[in-house]
Amino acid sequence: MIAFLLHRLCQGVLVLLAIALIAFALFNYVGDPVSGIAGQDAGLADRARLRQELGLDDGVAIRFGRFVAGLARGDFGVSYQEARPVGQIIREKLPATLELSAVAALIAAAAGVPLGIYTALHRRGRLARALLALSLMGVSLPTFLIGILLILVFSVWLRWLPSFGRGGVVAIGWWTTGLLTVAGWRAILLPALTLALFQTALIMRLVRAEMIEVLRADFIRFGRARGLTARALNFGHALKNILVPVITIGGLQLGSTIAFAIITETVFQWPGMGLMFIQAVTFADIPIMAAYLVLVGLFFVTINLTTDLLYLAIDPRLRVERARIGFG
Amino acid sequence: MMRPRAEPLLRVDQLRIELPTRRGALVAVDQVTFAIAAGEVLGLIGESGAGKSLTGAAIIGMLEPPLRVAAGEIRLAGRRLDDLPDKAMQRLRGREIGAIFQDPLTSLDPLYTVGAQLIETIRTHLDLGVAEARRHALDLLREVGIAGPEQRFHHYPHQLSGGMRQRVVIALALAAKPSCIIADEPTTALDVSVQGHILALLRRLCRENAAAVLLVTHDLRVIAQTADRAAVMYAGRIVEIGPARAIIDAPQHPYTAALMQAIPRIGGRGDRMRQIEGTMPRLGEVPQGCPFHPRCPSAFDRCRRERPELMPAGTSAAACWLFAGGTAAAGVGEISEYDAAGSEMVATLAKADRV
Amino acid sequence: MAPQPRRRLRDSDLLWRFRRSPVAIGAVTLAAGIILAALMAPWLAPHDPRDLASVSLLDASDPPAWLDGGSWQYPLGTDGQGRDVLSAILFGARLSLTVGVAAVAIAVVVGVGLGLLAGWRGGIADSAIMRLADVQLSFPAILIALLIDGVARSVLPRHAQSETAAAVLIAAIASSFWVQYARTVRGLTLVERGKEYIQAARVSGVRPAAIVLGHLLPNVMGPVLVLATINLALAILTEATLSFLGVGLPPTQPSLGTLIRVGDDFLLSGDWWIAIFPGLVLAGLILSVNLIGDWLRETLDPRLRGT
Repeated sequence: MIAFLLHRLCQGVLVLLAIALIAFALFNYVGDPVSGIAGQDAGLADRARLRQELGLDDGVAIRFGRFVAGLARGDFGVSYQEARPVGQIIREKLPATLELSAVAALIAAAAGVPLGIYTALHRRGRLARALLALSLMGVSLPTFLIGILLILVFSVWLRWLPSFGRGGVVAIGWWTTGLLTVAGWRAILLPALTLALFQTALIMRLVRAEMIEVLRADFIRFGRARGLTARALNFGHALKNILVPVITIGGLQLGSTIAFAIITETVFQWPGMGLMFIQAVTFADIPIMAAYLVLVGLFFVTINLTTDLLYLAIDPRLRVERARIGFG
Repeated sequence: MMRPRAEPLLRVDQLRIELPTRRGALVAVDQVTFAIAAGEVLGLIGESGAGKSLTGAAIIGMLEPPLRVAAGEIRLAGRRLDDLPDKAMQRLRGREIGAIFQDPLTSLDPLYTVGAQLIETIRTHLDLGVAEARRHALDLLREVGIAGPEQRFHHYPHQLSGGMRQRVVIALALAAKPSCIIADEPTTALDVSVQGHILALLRRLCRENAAAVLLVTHDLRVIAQTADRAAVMYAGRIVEIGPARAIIDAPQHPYTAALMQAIPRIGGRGDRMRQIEGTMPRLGEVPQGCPFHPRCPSAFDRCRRERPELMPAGTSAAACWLFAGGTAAAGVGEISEYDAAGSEMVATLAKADRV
Repeated sequence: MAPQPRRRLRDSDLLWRFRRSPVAIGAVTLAAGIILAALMAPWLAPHDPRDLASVSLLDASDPPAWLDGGSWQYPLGTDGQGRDVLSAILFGARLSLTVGVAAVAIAVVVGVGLGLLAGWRGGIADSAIMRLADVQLSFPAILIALLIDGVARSVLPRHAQSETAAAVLIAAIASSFWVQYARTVRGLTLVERGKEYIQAARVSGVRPAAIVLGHLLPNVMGPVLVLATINLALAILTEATLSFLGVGLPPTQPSLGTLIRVGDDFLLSGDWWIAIFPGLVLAGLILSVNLIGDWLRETLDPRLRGT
């Protein structure tokens, strides 16, 4: 088991290094970092000096090493657009994105799992089939369209909720939270719903499919044969057994949350990492793009490791190295 | 252990199971009639698709829809089961009727320990606290012959060997001491070396608890070792029923005879193994008259036209026109008596028996 | 030569099932309607939104015909510049479809090609391609498309950007989609490679290229087509998203996504039609193609897995 975890950890580190390499390549070979920092019109002498300062004349391996060391310290270079350290920009934007994603994930799980179970247990019911149709739409409709529709209904027509910004934020240390004020909650509601819709539909369909599959299993049949109640079978046995596949695929889907966060933040002008990334792409701000890439990579590796740990906690078959054979 | 004319605990009368389709109902099982006394093991033999598992499923009320019981009666201790709503059936399952299925690995939830699953089942049926349930569970584990039950209690299914798992399955099925057990191929998925032990265990426990056992299998050796009486099914019908020894040593129905000839036997003559030509008809393709007649070496005209009912043949009863002469064709009700008489005979033999 | 006859059986079965599925019929009708209208845009559209001379600011921000202030000259209203929304939608749909189809086509060619290579050759080619695929798969497609777009932006001179926008977009989307085809085809190739008819061809001296193209390719096209249909919906969605975000097609040659972006600015002032109508058409298109793809997969897949 320890060996398994170590192996996964090494894999994770390797992936991160690969991503760092890509970021490094982006940084140094796409566009000109010197022009980016000094401006297009900088004189030759200034450029040469900048090159010296940035250490651009050293060998590739050394520069990469420095790059990785910098990453580990949180030094992502300087933004072309804003001429200040990328690390600082990220610290400002990170809380907004994390809070949005967390609230959306909570909504998605709280709605998706029960709906999934319900539609699995009542397969032929009218409500279940209606929900299934709705979920297909939830997966097909573009997120930005949903966002726009919500803005139209709730901000423009009904004027209940704001259509941009975070509302009132409270600063705690370097973190800014919008969850401590009513205005903050009103501001986060529409974006979180938009972000959550796709995930909810996905989770619901996933839970439903897995549930239906597991209810066909022999141990459920045997449980029924020995008189266990429907509740014990559905929630005690079936539910626990679908946790592993749901977590796997759910974990993989978390990646798409990042993508959807970009879109949602753009629609609602939510000052988070996604909006920052889009602006960087529009202005060819390579340092921010590279930094975002590395952070996303870090996020994925963490998710994968956490998923692995969760597996170990849930499925005892992975824990024991060798099955102990008794005498039959 | 001899019960003269024991009142059957489980009675199945003219059971008919149908599969409704858009093109009309297909008959999967028809006119199946048998009775099992307390403490008796009835083996139900047949090829796959013959309807034996369906019969077992019908008794415990677990036919997969759209399959349904279309006619007939199933009675346990006099009380009808086939017309009970599912909720009522659920209360009986585990308590009055139990079932054991083929694959012990997939029969147990892989994510819960043996002990947890035992306690859950025990507390579903018996009103016990956790500590008492635990003691009861340990007793059960000992009863099914698991050494070191205190350790095994905390093990997960995958940590046990196949034989031990099936013992756990038996423990679970017998936790509330049901009076009727359906065992569907309980040893098919196990190593040959282990099969004997499990069957012996099953037999012993069922005798001790005076449970009526329906042992569904395709393996004649299982019948030989464990069953008191046997019924042979073909294309959804019982074609022969009688004492297990008689069925095996002196099969009456041509199908049964062919089955016996198809098994290699130690000490038998060095005859070529004979396969029965053709295949058993599928649902909806059962021929008119006797379902076996297309493959039967002894078929004659009547076999093609009329379907034979069970009639006395030696110590058993066989559904074959070859036995139409002699004693007047007995009605079904009389067959049960005949059956019971046969069961007396077997009980006598059982005393001098291997266990 | 086992595979050929089975395909014919599948086809007729497919048509039979199609006729009996109202969802499939509805979806195909909707998709066909939108696609045909889009293709016929130059002839169907009442106005040409690209012709700046025909656009008049006097007609700017007119609501749809059935509301006050609207007229049937501009059935779905006009945008802030006076362009007819209906015409813009028709041309926009055309662009969206073009980009979507082109992106999927390229992804299929590249993906199938690499998949065949990886499956047939094995060894280093296989490992390299699959490593790349694995790394790429863990990233959401949009992110990859955005990255490529961003790189293109910093590499291309500013003035060339709007002209090459469509090409860059297609390349970006295609690069995020090729992976699934590569994986599927590689798997199928590995399976087919061991079969007798392939061995026979090799032994009788047929050149590898001929075997791969003549025998393997037809047999892997089935699942690829199903994937491509599902992917088409996703490609259109991705293009719309990228355009909405401002890194796709520019307002000078707007796709449906760009139109929605433009309309978004007018949302708060109450001119909802500029964004909503293109949105509805987009949603209809994606939904119908998705349904078709879903239905195709359900109908064909279990059979395919069985072969």
